[in-house]
Amino acid sequence: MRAPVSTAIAIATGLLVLLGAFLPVPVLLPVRQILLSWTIPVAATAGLIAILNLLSVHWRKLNSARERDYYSIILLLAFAGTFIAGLLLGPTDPNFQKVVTYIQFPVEASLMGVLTVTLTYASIRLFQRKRGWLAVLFTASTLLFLILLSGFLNIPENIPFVKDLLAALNTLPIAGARGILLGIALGSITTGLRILIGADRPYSG
Amino acid sequence: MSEIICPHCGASNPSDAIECKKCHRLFFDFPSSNAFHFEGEEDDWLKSLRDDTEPPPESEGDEAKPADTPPFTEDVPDWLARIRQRSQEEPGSDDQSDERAEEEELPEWLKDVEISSSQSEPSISESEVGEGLPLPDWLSLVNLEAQEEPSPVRPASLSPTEGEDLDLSDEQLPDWLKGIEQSQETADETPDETPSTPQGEPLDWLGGSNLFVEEEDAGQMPLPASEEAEPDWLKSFETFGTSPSPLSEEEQTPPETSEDWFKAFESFEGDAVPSSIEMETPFTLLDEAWLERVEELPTEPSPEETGISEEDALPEVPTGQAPTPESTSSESVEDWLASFPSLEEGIPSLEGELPEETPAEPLVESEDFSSILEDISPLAEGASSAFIFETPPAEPAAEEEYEISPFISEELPEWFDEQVFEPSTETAAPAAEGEAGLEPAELPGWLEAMRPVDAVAPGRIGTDEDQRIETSGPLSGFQGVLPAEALITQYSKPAVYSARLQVSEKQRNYANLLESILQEEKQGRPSRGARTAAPHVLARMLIGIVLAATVLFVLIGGVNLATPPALFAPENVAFFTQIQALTASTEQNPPILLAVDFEPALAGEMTTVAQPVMNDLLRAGKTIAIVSINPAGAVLAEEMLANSASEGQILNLGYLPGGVTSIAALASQPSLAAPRDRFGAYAWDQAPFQSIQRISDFSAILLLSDNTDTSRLWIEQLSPLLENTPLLVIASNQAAPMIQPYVQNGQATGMLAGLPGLAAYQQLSGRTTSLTPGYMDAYQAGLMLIVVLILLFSLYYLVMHLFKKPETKGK
Amino acid sequence: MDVDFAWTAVAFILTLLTLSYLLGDNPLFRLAAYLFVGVSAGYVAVILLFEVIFPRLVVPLIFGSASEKLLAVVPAVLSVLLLFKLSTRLTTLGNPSMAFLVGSGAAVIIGGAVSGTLFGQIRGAIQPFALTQSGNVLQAGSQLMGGIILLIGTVLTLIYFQFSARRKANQQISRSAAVQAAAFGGQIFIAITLGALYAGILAAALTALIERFDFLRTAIQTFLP
Repeated sequence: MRAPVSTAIAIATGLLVLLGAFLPVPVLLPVRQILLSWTIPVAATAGLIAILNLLSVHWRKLNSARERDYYSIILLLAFAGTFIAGLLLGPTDPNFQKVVTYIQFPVEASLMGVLTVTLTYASIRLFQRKRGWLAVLFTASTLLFLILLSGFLNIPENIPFVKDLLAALNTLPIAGARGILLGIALGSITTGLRILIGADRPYSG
Repeated sequence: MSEIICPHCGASNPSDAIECKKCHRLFFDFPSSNAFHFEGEEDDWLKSLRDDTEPPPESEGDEAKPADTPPFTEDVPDWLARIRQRSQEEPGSDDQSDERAEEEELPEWLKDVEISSSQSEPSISESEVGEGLPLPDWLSLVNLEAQEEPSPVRPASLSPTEGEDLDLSDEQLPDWLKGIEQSQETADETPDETPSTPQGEPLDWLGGSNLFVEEEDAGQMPLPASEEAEPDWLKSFETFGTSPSPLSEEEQTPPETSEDWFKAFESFEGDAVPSSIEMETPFTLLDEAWLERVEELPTEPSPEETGISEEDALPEVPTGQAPTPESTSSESVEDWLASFPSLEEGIPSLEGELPEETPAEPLVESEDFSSILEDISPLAEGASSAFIFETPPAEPAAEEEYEISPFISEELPEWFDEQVFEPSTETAAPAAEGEAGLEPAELPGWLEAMRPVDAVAPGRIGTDEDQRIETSGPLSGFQGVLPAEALITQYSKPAVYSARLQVSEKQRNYANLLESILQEEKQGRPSRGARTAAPHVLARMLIGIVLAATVLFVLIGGVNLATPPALFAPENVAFFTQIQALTASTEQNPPILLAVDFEPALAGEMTTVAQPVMNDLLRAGKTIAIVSINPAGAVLAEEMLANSASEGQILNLGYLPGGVTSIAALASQPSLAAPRDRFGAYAWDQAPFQSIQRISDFSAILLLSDNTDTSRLWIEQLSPLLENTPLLVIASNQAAPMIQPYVQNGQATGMLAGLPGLAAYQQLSGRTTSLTPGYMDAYQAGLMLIVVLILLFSLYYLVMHLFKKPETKGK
Repeated sequence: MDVDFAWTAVAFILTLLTLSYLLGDNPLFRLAAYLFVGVSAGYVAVILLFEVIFPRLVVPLIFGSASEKLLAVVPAVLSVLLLFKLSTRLTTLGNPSMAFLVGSGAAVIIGGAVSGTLFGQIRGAIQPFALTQSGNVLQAGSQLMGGIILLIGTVLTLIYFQFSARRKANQQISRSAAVQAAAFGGQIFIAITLGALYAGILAAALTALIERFDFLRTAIQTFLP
């Protein structure tokens, strides 16, 4: 067996957490709570490792002769500046928080705004690529819910037929969504069980 | 006019033909090549050879001359002329000098010989001077040997019956000697001719050749010291050069036919070896040492010892041994010349031109020559009969032993090859007699190894291709060399091979199957030409411009498009109800947990929708605990509540990494999951958070999420543990469809989704003014614009596809 | 110069640089993107250090009580072992930490899927058939009808994701006719749901675009005297 210690830790931890959630055994609940609390700092360390890996990748790209990317220096300098500012000011400093407010937020929001144009263009070209009945149904559903979301059909009067119709239209996606959610849940259960029994070991590598 | 039978393929050709029509091989290119292009009337003697009935006038004239006159004085090479000259100097040698005087076009090697001889020997005749023949290697060896040790040089015996082996292969024989073979063949066909007739002609040109001319002064040929070491063929040359009469008395040919050309050989023998034969350029021997070794060679074993028949024995290469006066006897000349096969087509010009037999020396070489000449079967068949010699009567082999030529077989003239010559029956007897008297030379081991196989092996050496005599270039006269001009001129159209591929039925089926698969691939993905990004960029730009214009127009212009909703979704109503319940309570409710789970990308939408709700809660005095599984979520939430919240109302628990495990930890025990706030202070000691032990202790859980997955996780982890605590969701439009099932089944109490949810909440809360004026109008206008664009282009592409041609549809 | 004004200018410029992507990928857009990634990474690193690692590991181990130290030892050891993942040679030393995270996460997911989604959604699927909550027959009828549609849709959607097939007599591998027919119905409901999701994404993106244009308008008004 490959990585027996890690497999034992994974199985043991998983069983304790799972049993603590379902079995009304008094000792299991605190164990579960403690184990879950330990995951937070360990996950934070994993996040730090991910950031260090990102920096190393860009550093390598900067020093690479073949695939040199000069934009990486911008990334590294931005990271260095932000990190140093955070170390000096602290994360709770209002000025440091402006990094989120005036840099992260504008850029991400603008990217989302550009996504509007891209999605619109993609939906326009849908029938240029595919012309099956599913494409027609998908487009029709998209148009319907766009109209519903826009509020264009907000009639001021409470007409029962329209109300029921709108209610019915709003509940149409629920069936499919529920089916999708159930499918995801079943898949998650399967995957989790495979990890708990040691069949899958994504950590041994 | 008689026909010429090709000695190679046996096809009949006109008498004047030079090469065979069928196999395109030269019968004997003596008249047509530079090698043996005699000066003056070049082809007369050759024609006379070919003419069976009448000798050419020249030849007739020559025949009228005494025997010492060469039969074709004009065409005779210098060396042959010198032979005749010598014979003329002796009885009957005057004619040879006349022959020599005539211009002759010689092969280059003979010319070189002449030149070198003219340079060193002013006594050489003019005809010899004018032609500087390069001395072949083997002749230069002859010269060397003559210089080193003067010894009697006997003419190479052409008759195998004399018992001498001329260690030469067909390749080493010059063309003129090959012609001897051919003439022998023709001579065999016409047995009526006197044997002396064909012999006369070869003798003439042989005598005129400078090759066999020796200077009297030098009187030496590059022969080894001992006679025993001399190759026979070389000795025969020496005999030509030094011995006026290589033929012995026994081999004396009939006076009319053989004497002339015999005399030519005699004269050849009597003349001094020209300097060209000596070690001069360009045929200067690179290594003369082998000559010395050749001198040391043992005597050639007798045929009985070696088992080589007289017929198979090659003529010995004449060594450098200087010919003795005895060897120049006409009888000796006649003897070896008598070994030449008789010319069927008589060479009238040669009649009577044969050198006189000089009895000076036993013609051992003549025996070999005769044997060699007998092997010239093409000549016997009536081909170019210029050199069809009648084998003189076999003479007893000279006692001198001739050594095997040290030269490689390819360098030796063809006529030295015993297989070339087909000894006639007439010469059989004399040959036998000659063999008995000869002492075969003993060859050293290394020379024995060098001996061509053909020298010892019976049978015809080489193929028909090897019998071809080179007619041009420095190797003219040699046999078996790589063709130069001949092949080029004889180039034939290459064979045309079929380019059709042999395909079996099974292979054809496989090929068809592969082709059909490839065709399906083509059909599946029709290529519509090269795609460029420019149209896409332009289209996106146009859509962006239109959208931006619409939104800006509505925002700036203050256009009122949106109407307040009259119908509300149940989840909106439930959400509002719960918020109302929370805000309406005057008790010190437990804090509300605000779970922030949205990215800065949709912070605008989320904050826009959540702002009124949070304001209502904060105005109601509710304490809110903020927790986020997103690094920026806590900050965004704090920014959102900073303006509305008073001091002490907000507890920011910060960021919980880990995703679902942190949610589960928070759901299991919030104080353990997030013990401190962002500032590091212990949060759960402060009121009202002291009462919070479990997640259900909160008065409400308000989830702000823009992600379907994380919202699902929140609901999955919290809902089982929330007993009566409402779970309210403020979701983005993109997450709302997936959260709706949870709302529908009661796991989430209420939900506000995007701006429509905000509109509904505002409508339900009775707010007439919006915190974000113009948003709803721009939102509606933008969405309707998108609807119109999608609808129009979709219909356009559908209609275009319906009205497209069937052929293009299939592509 | 007002700090807020400077920050507003920064946000204004970054917004314009990012919106330039409408013209295609260009150096200005890449500049804004790389800057954003660097700043985000730095911010997250600071948050992790100051809000999680330092208070949960360093402080308890140094300044905490015995119980706090005892509770902090295990995550500290796990965190240190996880750092070896940066080394290619010693990466296997971080496997126990990864196993701990994976094991606990798998268990949590199983518990949430079972109790949160599976039971909840099934209950939600059969809840409409509880006609006792409805007022009148019409409402009961509509409720029932809705429940049936929802149930059928849910079942058909689940069947669509079943890709088990058998080899038939003619060597073709295909699902049974009933499953194929049910899957066809499931495709319809899935298409409707995906259409609704696509519309929601469009709406959310449009909202973000509207907010950005509003910001630009406001910023210009601020910049203008």
